[in-house]
Amino acid sequence: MAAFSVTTTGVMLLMLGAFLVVIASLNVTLRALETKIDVVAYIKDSADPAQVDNLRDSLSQNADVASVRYVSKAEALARMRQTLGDKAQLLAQVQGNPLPASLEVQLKFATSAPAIAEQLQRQASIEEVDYKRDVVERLLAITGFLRLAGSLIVAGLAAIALFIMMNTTRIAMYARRPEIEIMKLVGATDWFVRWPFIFEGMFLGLLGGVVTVAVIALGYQPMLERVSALLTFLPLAFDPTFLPRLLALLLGAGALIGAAGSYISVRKFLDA
Amino acid sequence: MIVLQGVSKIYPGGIKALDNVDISIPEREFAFLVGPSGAGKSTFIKLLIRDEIATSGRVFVNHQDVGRLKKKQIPYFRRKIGVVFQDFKLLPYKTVRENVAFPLQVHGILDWKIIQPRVDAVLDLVGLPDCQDRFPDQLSGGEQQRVAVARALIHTPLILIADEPTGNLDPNTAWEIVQLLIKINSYGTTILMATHNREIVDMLRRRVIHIDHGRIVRDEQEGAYHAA
Repeated sequence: MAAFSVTTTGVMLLMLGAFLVVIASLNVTLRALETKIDVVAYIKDSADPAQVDNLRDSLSQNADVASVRYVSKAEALARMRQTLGDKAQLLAQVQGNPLPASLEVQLKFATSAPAIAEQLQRQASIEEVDYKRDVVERLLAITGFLRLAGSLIVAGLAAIALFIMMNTTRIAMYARRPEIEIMKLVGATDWFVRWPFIFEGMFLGLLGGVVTVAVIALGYQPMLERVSALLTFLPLAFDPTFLPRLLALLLGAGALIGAAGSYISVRKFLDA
Repeated sequence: MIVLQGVSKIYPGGIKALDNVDISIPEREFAFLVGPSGAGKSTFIKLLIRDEIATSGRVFVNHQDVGRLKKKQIPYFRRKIGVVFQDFKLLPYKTVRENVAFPLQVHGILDWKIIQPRVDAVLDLVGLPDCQDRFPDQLSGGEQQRVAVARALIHTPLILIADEPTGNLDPNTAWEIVQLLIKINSYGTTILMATHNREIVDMLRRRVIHIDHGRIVRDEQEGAYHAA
């Protein structure tokens, strides 16, 4: 039974760990996607250059803004030419440079896009503000959903592991019923009876954590390389402190679940 | 000392195990609790060690109102009582020494320099000085009960409660255990012994409290198992 609960706790923690890895990488990916969201403000040809400079300065001091880049009319035209490639000769048909200059604002978080866009729209020198409204909204919806779903799954797994630990302790206590009966008879306090079981639960949980940590520590790097190879378009650059933190968290979670499961079981048993 | 005042115990389902019991057992007394099976002897004992709570009336043991003990006080209350059972209740995987030392360890005394002399003393008292390293299943029934008595005495309780201590023993061995209890009583420990053993009760002529259908039907000093 003890082996069974170590295994189950291990499996639960492993799934928990896997989910945390997935969520963490999603977070990284989403963050990367979020910073790709630009707000582009097209500048009126008639705008006062000093005013545009002021606007640019105030934007770069905004806490939500990652960077601001001024794209001149000439640069816009050069980009257009590059985009068109071998069809660039079409531009020859056009008189002068019809493209406006612009401020390309890169944001730290996609959530701030609507506010920044609105703020820019009010500026006299700005003709029009553009950002990928539906992309931002969809991205935010997906991020929120994934975070919620992930948290629910992790909570559910923790509850299952806790429940299994409770049952393990209960079985252990039934097996040691005569001893507990005698302990209580000769005047053992409830805590005296409880401690060994709580330590046992904690130990089993920790053991499950160790198994999980070993599996993750061995499998993490190869898996990451696999995933990165598959999803080349997404940046999967992990924080190097993520793995040690994850392992510490899993060990802690194992011990905590073990101790908590045992405690609940022992309490029920002693109060009955 | 033990005092019961108007004590009734009704179990869920309406079974009346004790019915308005009044009794007083002074310090240093040796009393037999007799009566047929199901008469209420076990309930009587459970009330004394706070394994059950009286439905009405009050139970005093060592001047403490047992029914009013808080949950946290119960362990400390029980440390002043020793209990011996028909089935010995020894832990099979512990040696005699460990079984006897168990209450002290439970009370938080972990230093064997303190424990060992006391184990020696009680095992000497019960007449088993030489089998401290044996396990219960290597002992006879009588020897196991002696170990149980030693365990009940190691924390020098004021009261020793014995629930059918001779029930599983042959007559000679039973007699030895009772002799042992009498010796312990002579050192000042109050003893209440529930029993079916007619010969022993008749031979010893101690106080006899007879319970039937939850009532005290007879309470005699120097009594016999059956009414004269």
